[in-house]
Amino acid sequence: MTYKKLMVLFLFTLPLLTSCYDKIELEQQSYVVALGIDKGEDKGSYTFSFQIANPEVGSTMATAGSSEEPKETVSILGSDIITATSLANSFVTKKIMLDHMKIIVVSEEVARSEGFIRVIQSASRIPQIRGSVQIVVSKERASQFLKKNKPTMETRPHKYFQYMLQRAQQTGIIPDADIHRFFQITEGDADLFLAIYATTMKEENKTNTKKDHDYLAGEIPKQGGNPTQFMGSAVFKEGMMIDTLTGEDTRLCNILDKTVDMDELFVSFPDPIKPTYQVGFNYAQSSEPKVNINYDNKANHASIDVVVPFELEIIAIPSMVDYALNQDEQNQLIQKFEQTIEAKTNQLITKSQETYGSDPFYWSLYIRKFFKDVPAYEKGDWNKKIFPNAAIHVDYQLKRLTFGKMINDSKIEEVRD
Amino acid sequence: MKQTDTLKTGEMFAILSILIATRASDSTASLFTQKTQNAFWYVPFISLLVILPSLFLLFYLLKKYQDKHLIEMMETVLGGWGSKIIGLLIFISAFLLMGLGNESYVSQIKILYFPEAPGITIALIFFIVVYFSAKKGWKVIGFVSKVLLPFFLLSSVVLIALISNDIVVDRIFPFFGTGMQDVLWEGVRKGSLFYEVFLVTIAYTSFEKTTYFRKGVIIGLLFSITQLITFFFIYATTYDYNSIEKMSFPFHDLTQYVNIGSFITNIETFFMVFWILASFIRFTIYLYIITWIFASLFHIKYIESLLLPIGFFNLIISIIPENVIMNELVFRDALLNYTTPLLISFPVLLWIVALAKGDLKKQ
Repeated sequence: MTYKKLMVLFLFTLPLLTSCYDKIELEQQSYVVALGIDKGEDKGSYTFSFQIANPEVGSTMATAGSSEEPKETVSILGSDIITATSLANSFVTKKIMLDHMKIIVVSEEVARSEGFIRVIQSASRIPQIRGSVQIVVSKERASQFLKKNKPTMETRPHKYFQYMLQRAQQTGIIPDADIHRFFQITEGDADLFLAIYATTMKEENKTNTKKDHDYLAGEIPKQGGNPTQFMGSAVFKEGMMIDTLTGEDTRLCNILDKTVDMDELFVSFPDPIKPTYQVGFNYAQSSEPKVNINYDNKANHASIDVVVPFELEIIAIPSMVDYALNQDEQNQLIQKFEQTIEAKTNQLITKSQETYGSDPFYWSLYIRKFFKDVPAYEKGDWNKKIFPNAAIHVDYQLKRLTFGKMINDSKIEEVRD
Repeated sequence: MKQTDTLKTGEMFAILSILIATRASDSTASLFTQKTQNAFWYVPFISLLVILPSLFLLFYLLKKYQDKHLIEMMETVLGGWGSKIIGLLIFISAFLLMGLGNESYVSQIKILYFPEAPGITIALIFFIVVYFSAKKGWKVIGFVSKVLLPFFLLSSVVLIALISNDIVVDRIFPFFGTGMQDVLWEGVRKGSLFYEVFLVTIAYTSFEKTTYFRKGVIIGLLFSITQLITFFFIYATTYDYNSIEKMSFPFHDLTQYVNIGSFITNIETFFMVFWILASFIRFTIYLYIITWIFASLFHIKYIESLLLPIGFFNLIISIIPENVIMNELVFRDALLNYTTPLLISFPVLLWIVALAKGDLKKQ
């Protein structure tokens, strides 16, 4: 009796071995790490490029002598992302999975067209694409960008994109541009969204007179390394790209936007005492900027006072001026720094008020509390009426100045006597 | 198995918390935002205020008529026919709400985790699990809830900790969403959010002391409302008012968005395990309670034998709606709105009748 029961039990457990509908082996999947979107030949059609990672490369499991490429990039025409994946299966051997995608690369051509928001929309509809995927705008065609990108040190593409963007975001030269944020800002319809700007093309004819971080991707004078440069940002207004910001301006946006974290900023600017030299700083944001808005309900006018507290650490004084002990020279230095950064910020604000008609700093958050409900807030119209006419005053306040681990530099006169 | 033990405050607390607080993780939030935009996070609080007087009245009556649960008490007050009509109304609305809720959960599982599997298969597996757990009886359900609740809480704490960086509190402004009137009205109409509190009074006598039941319900209610509001607040502040409106499952969008550092990404399955366990228990409790109501309405002794037919009919209800959006935004919305007046009025009716009969003066 018990033997028979056991047999029946065994028979019933057999079907369980076939497992469920959604079972898929790791080997049967192709992991897309980067997705490129280009314009297709006619309206409403796009070329999608999938960069597929080869999981074998770089793992300790890899068999000796395996000469497979670390990644494969394929491009295919389609109208949306998912249907393109199934078409791509005519020459990609395995099921294309988007779960581990890190970035979406959009060519500047697509980003500047009104169709961009339509094609990116499907990214939020399908659960495969996470909200944390970063949006990158490439100067050239996205397929070209993905193909030309040849990292030499970090050959595994998922690690490359992850570390590359993470590090660049920490230094503030590119914005935090995930899909989640794109939809918050675009649908909020008040502020400007900044996407990462990148290219593999080198700008040859530009003269390298620029200083510090005032570059766009492709302009950085460099030698060696991967041709890909991530620098600056693409400005999106109402889901459409309208302009680019340099790395320096992007940093200012990151400083003024309290929803973005930034770890460290290294900046240099002309020495106030010996202007031929530059002084190097490590800029640290000690606390988020205080944005104080006074809103006049009747006139629909706002005056915005921004106080940015910051800390500085001096990392290089090539002019060897004694800033550490000479209080007078130190004050000059601080004043010059504050003046310079305030002037640059004001320039950016004026530009966004006059040219863009909206702000890339996410400041609409502060005006919200003056409105009772959403209809009133939308009627107040931050990006068309309030912000462009607002009186804005920015004040940078130095909280701490440190000099690294040295009291003073070598006494140049004594060394060279 | 500690079958012989009796149910106490802890079990009641756990049961009610699972019944109500899991609402934070389904599509209730997106249902609310349709009409209130970013003010939806405090709508549950308004709903609670609306429902509270009737709830206290019901508790008062239960206390007066000692040792009687909801249906027995109604029979004593209203007599045979009156109690059957109201009892049936309560049963039918609860039955339909469970069916639609079932559909919502099944589609969440299907859309997010098992896209290839047919919906019916998932619904069937869901039903089988719920049925066999409910068959274990009320006490086991109580103990299981109590044992597992800390784990559910732990997973929500982890989620809150991970998302806390992305919260922008300013997003709750403008405070009144679509307008004060709309928000208040929506809160009033969705009083049935706390339907389960009325339903669990069927278990009034199953506790060692009735004070345990009352205490458990009050603490459970306070706790659930806190959790609901916390989660709704997180949704309102991580998504903006325009984005939350178009999301069907804000909870799952949240679990997909968070990462632990840069190494451990795509961790939604971790939360899914706890979420799915909680929903199993939630529907187990639900199925047991509505069967209990049905059984005591018609004086049927063996609740367990009714679980199968009622559960099966529920399964059929749950596969009627075509898609989750229709189900959520049309059927469930309407049903919740229609149920609220019933919940508010029936304890008042009971109280008036009891007062007229002079029952309340005796003790």
